[in-house]
This record gives sequence, structure tokens and C-alpha cells, in this order.
Amino acid sequence: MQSQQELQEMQLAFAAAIRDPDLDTHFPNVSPEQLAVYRELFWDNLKALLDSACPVARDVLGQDTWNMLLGRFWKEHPASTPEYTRMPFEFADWIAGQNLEDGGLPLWLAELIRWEVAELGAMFAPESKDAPPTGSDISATHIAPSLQLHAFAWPVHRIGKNWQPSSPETTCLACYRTAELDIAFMELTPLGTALLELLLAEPEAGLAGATRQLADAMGTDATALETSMAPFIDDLYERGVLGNTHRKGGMEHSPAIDTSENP
Amino acid sequence: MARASAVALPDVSSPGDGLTRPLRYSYNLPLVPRAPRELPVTPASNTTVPHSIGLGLRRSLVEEWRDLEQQGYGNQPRPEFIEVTPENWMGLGGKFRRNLAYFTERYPVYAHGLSLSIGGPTELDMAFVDRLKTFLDDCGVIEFSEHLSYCTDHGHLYDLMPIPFTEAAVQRVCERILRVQDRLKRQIALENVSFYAMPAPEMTEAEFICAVLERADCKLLLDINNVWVNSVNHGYDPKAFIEAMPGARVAYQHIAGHLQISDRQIIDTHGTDVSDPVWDLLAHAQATLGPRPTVLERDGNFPPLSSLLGELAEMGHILNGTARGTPGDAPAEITV
Repeated sequence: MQSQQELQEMQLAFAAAIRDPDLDTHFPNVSPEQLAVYRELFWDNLKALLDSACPVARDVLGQDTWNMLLGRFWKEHPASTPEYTRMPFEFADWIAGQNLEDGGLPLWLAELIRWEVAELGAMFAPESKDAPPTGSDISATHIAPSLQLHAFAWPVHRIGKNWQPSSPETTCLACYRTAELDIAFMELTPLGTALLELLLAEPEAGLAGATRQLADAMGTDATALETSMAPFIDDLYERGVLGNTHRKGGMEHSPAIDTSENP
Repeated sequence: MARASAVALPDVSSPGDGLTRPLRYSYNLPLVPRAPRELPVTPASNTTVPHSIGLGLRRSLVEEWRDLEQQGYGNQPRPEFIEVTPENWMGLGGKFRRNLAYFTERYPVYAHGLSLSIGGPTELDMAFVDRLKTFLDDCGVIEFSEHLSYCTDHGHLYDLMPIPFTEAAVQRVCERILRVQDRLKRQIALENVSFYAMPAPEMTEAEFICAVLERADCKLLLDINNVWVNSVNHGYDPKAFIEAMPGARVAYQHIAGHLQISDRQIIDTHGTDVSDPVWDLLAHAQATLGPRPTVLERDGNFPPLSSLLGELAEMGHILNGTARGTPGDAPAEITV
């Protein structure tokens, strides 16, 4: 009779054989054809998800390189999330930890994949549990929880099958959910990105606090900086990326709080 | 500014490439807190089965289904309950949350999990079980089911591997089911899964399932399609298999379509219409075990919703014991 240890070893070996089609593992009562069915089903499942999450990376790399990359990920990475739909984030993390140059892969690949899955991040982000600032707390600024903000070394948003960058170019991108719950994209200046990063790091300091910090870091006058950034800030409020109750078009139009379905 | 290509979320793999099968998972999602519904009693003699025909909620069905809810179902049956996959909805916002809320507010909810890995070789993820409990409670879930299989090694593989039919596995699985039931504060139902290989079995599939159900004191989600798939792939009598199941433990049932590769191999795809042998087996289960709430699972290659509602009508006729082949009549509430 099988022992607990034998059971565990057999189950782990079975999974390993599915992950790595080159493993020549044999199991009693299991034909190579039966094992092949599992390998194909599991591979198709993985590939369907990552193909759809990263269509640009797949197109640019071409089917062979893309499949090789997915195969390595599948073999090497034990995914920790029980939620299949979140697995592309693990893929993005994994590729960010790879040495792309040694692997003969484009240096911008990890950033491209990070940007591709950012769209999923904006789609999935839960609504904020915190109420938007109200009453006298006019300094507090609410940031849409769906905001995905990235400062990249490469212009990943322009990459496609017909064009790839040959040299780095600092590129700040964001995506977020609109009031209609669709996903919108923005290109930002490095200054605007720095301001939003400060705001995200210390939301309780509010926009004024973040602007002061940024001005200090740059050695400029806070009032002047505020004036120069006013159109950008207004645009963020307009889009619902920022909100508070004292601004026109505040959180009642923001994607951050979805009131449409709440009783 | 727009992206070159928006993310097209997968429901379907491209057709025609070998065993390729639609995804078991889809991007759907999360939750609006609400009061748990009154829990129904497990069907038993002389009680009314509260729900008979159910449909699995899928992202690809949501838009069309919402339209039907608003416009009415005409002469087709409205599903009597929905089944959702917690992993496809937990913790998500935006359209996922909105769509889930729309349906959980309108339907009794059954939940069918994917990632618990009840038969897994590594430690149970009890933090995940706690998150599951929150989801089940928030959605007022009536029955929660999982697969009698495993889907993890040291990480998730997101599909179902066969638990060896051995005494060691019965012991291990039962211990884990008891821990999960204790944490969820409810009995769970385990599904008989389709399997394509069985390393070193010490007993039959039916013996394995019965041993687990009995010793863990849990329920069975009887997947009629899987009975048919396994009976063809492994050469056993599907009717005898159903007769061997402990009827009192059958919480509910699944039916689905499959992909016939050859006369001796079927892949469980959930991507086609329900086949005649599966309808016949459903009728046999109904005659043997009595009517049970039954869910139509469709995970890919989606036809118009009206086609699925036609299958629900067929299902209703079988569960109702009325003549088959007269689509259009919604089944009446069934009594056993």
C-alpha cells in the first residue's frame, strides 16, 4: 500500500512532468500519451492567458521566442496566486528578474510586459475602502485606486511589430479606470510623475504637501511650481484620477468609488 | 493616447488546434456585501428542491444575459440560479464587481472553486480559505463546491491533476476537507473530475469517491459529463457508476459538452453543446438519485445565449420527468 510520502512524491513528480515536457518520467499505469494530454491541456491554459494579457510582446517576439519564454516561466516559476487571472502579474515580476541580455532578449521586454499587464491592474483594482475626503479636510487628495503609474526607461507604448526602440528614452505612462469603468491611458512628464509618486507615497500630505516636497527637491519656489503644474492637476481632476469633495468634478464622478451598483 | 492593442481577455482558445480547450477560468468578478440568503436544506424526501436549472456565470455571457434580464426571456426559461467561480471574482473592482453584483442581486448563488487544491501534496492555503469564506458569505452562497483533485505542486498550475485512488490519498484528502469545512463553517461538495491518467490506483474511482465522501462527511457535486468522459476514457459502465454514488450526499449536478477525439478518447472541454449520451445519463441520474439542482457549464466557444437557454429547457424537462424535445416550456418547480 502507498505511504503518505510515496503519495506526495508521486503527486509532485506528476506535476513536474506536466511542467517540463523534456522530463522522461514514468508512472505506473500511465502511458506517455496520457501524460501528453495533461501537458497539452495545461500548456494551452497557460498560453491562452499570457497570450491575451501580453499581445504586443507576443507579436514582437514571434511565436517561437514567446513560447520558449513561457516554457521557461512555466517550468521555473511556482505561481503563488490562487487567482488565475492575476498570474500575468507574476509573469511580469518573473521577467523583470531575468537577465534579458544573456537570454538574447530585447532589453525593453520586461518594461513592455509590465506596461501590458498594467492594463489588467487598472481593470482589476478594487474600489477604495476609504471614503473620499470630506468636510474641512480640504488638504487631503484622493487618488483613484485603479491608477497604474510607471516611469520606464524605454518608450514601451510605441513598441509594436513594426517598430522597436534602439535606445532608451525616459517614458512616463499611466492607466486608470474611467467613470464608465473603461480603461484610459496617459503619457506624463517626468515632473508630473514625480508629483504623483510623492502623492501616492504620502497621500495625507495632500497635493500642497507633495508640491512643496517636489519644489524643495528641485530647489524651486513652490508657488511657481504650483502655477506651472496647474493645467496638469486640473486635467487629473477632470479625468477623475484625483478627486476631493471641494473640487468641481470631484469623487462623485471618479472611478475610484463605484456607487452605481451599491444599494 | 491608446494602446496598440487592448487586452482581449480569454474565454476561448483558437479552435481546431489539437486538444486545445476553452479556459476553465474567465475574467469575471467581485462582490457587494449582502445578507446571506437563507440556507436551503439538502434535498431529501418530500421537500421541495429550491432551484433546478442553473447556468454558470461567465464574462462572455454577462452582456447578453443582462440584456435578457432587462428585455425578458420570451418563451425560453430564465435560469433559476447561477454558479460563480470565486477565483474569477474575488477582490476585483470595476466592471467585474459591477457585473457580479448585478447577478448576485438577482439570483440564488452557488459557487464552484478552482484553486483550493484539496488533494494537493503541499500545505493547504488557509489564508486563501479565509478569503473564500468572505466571498461566500458576502455573496450569500448556497452551496460551495470544489474539485476532488489537485492543482498545485509548490505553486499553482491552474488546472486539475488526478489524485491517485489510494488509501493514503483518501486519508490525506479527508483530513484536508475536514479542516476546510471547519474553517468555512459549512459542508462542502466535491466534484468527481474528469481524468486522463491514473498513476498506481489501489481502488476504483467510485470506491475512492465514496470513501472520501463518507469519511470526510461531505457532499458530492455529481458531474454527469465527467462520468461520461471517464467511462469512455477508462472503459467503465457510467450508469453503474452513478448507481454506486451515495444519493443522499449529492448536493447538485453539472452537465457540459465535451470534445470527442476518438471513440475511446474524450476531452472535457465545456466548449460544445451537451451530447446525447450525457442527456441520457442525466435522465438516469434523475431516475436513480432523484432530481437535483443542475448547472449547465459552458466555458468557451460560446453560442448565443438562447442556445444555452434551449439546453436549460431540455435539462428542465429531464429533471421534471416530462417529455424531452419540446423546448420552450420553462420547467415547473420540482418536488421529490
